[in-house]
Amino acid sequence: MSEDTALPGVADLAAAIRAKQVSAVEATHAALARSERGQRRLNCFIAIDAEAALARSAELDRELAAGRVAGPLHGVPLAHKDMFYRKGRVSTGGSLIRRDWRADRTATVLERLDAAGAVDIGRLNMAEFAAGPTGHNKHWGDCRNPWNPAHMPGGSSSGSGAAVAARLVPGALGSDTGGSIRLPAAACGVLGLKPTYGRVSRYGAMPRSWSLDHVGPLARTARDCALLLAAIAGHDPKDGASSHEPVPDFAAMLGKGIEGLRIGVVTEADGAPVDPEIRTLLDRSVEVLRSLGAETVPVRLDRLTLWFRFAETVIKSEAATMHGNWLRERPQDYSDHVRARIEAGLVLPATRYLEALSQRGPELARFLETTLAGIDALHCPAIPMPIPTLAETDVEGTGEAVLALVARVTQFTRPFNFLGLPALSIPCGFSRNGLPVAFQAVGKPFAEAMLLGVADAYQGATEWHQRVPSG
Amino acid sequence: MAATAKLVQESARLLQGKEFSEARAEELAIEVERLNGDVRRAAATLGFDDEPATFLAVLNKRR
Repeated sequence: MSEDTALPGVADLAAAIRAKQVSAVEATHAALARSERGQRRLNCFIAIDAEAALARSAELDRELAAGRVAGPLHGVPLAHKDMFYRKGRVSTGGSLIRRDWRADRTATVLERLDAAGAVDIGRLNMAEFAAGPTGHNKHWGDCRNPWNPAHMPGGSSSGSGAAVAARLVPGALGSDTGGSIRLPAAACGVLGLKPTYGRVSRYGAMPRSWSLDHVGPLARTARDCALLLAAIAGHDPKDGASSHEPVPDFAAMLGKGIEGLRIGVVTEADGAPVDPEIRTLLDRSVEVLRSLGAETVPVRLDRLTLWFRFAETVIKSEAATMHGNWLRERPQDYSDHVRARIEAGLVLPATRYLEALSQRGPELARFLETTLAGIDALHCPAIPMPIPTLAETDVEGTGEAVLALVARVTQFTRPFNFLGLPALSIPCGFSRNGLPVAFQAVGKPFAEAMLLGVADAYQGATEWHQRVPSG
Repeated sequence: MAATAKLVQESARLLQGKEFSEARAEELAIEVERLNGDVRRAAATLGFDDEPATFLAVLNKRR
């Protein structure tokens, strides 16, 4: 396999390795070579672990030669946001505070990917403590967008979006508390899936907000996302919020089309304007879905801002709790904007926090019974404006500007963390500045297979996911 | 009562052991007032038996 050749996706690469058309070592070598080169342009890794990756891939080749297949991801090189713990390995969380911290446990999602045969080639860049939607990182350097390094890659799983879009690795894990999987996926032009709350274990994943944290995959195709999700989903007794919902064979459920599917298209949302250029591309994506047989109905979201506020209250309260000691003892070790985003939680009353949490059940029930009644999926913006530059969004030291920026970038993503619903960011074109645009498909609880079906059908009718950034 | 910079400074110092400058306390007061006000107003719709764990019950039931 040539190191200059863009790596195939997860499913194709896994099939090629199983068929012995390419070895796990060759695939890993190619990923490492691309990553070393891509890193210079994008700064999407915090660490690349070539030695361990090559040792692991050689072991997997020996297993395959002996007729043993570890699992559906046998030999596939992946990399993940640097917040999934592996026992004994440094896990920075994108921070200075944990620069040298070694994990005392291994994340369930990494154990499951290991069991499925994946190769872990390194730790990806991210926003400090997963707090920031842009890709800036004062401590490890800003991550850059592969479509144009001057632009933000989105965050907080910035390295995951950039590395997958640049074909450094075919798939990656991210985490999503207010949009942190879907935003970098949208900004970099790949799929990003935030599963239902509890669908994927959070054990061993650095927390940002216990109640709103979700773990999920970023990849180029629906099939690739399906394979990754199947590997990591399912009940985990180590995570108290983990669901017992059975895990279907997501990949086997693809290819059925979306004929007759009823999609609610968000045409209006309170306090959440959509740039006209983005609206045009979103409308075109709706036309494609209609041409594939979906029935669409207009939907108005009139509680988006309220859900946003509830989520903000929960995030700040929980983050201030977990960061309390460090905020008091070493505040200088945070970047200004990350510290600023947490501090309000120190002085919010506990009753407000619990009132916000208590709203989740009634709000979700009402949403399912009204807006989503008779609707299979919701279509709405991912990022409602063209992707800005890193310079335009460099907000270090300006607390109020950070709040305004986060509110705009995350206004369509964070509410679905509050509701815990599955949401998938699907690329649907490019704006005039050459950066990707995406829509979100949002489903009912545990409807990930249906969302992946929508993406699969859409990708079958379009070619946005086949475009490769130069460089 | 609206959240004021003085209230933020004093509650942070007395209840959290954290000092904020006056300028930072002004910023935080605006933020706290906004969140506190929105959530408190919405809380009027909550019933006596509403509680955080209801969320997981709804999530696991409705699909």
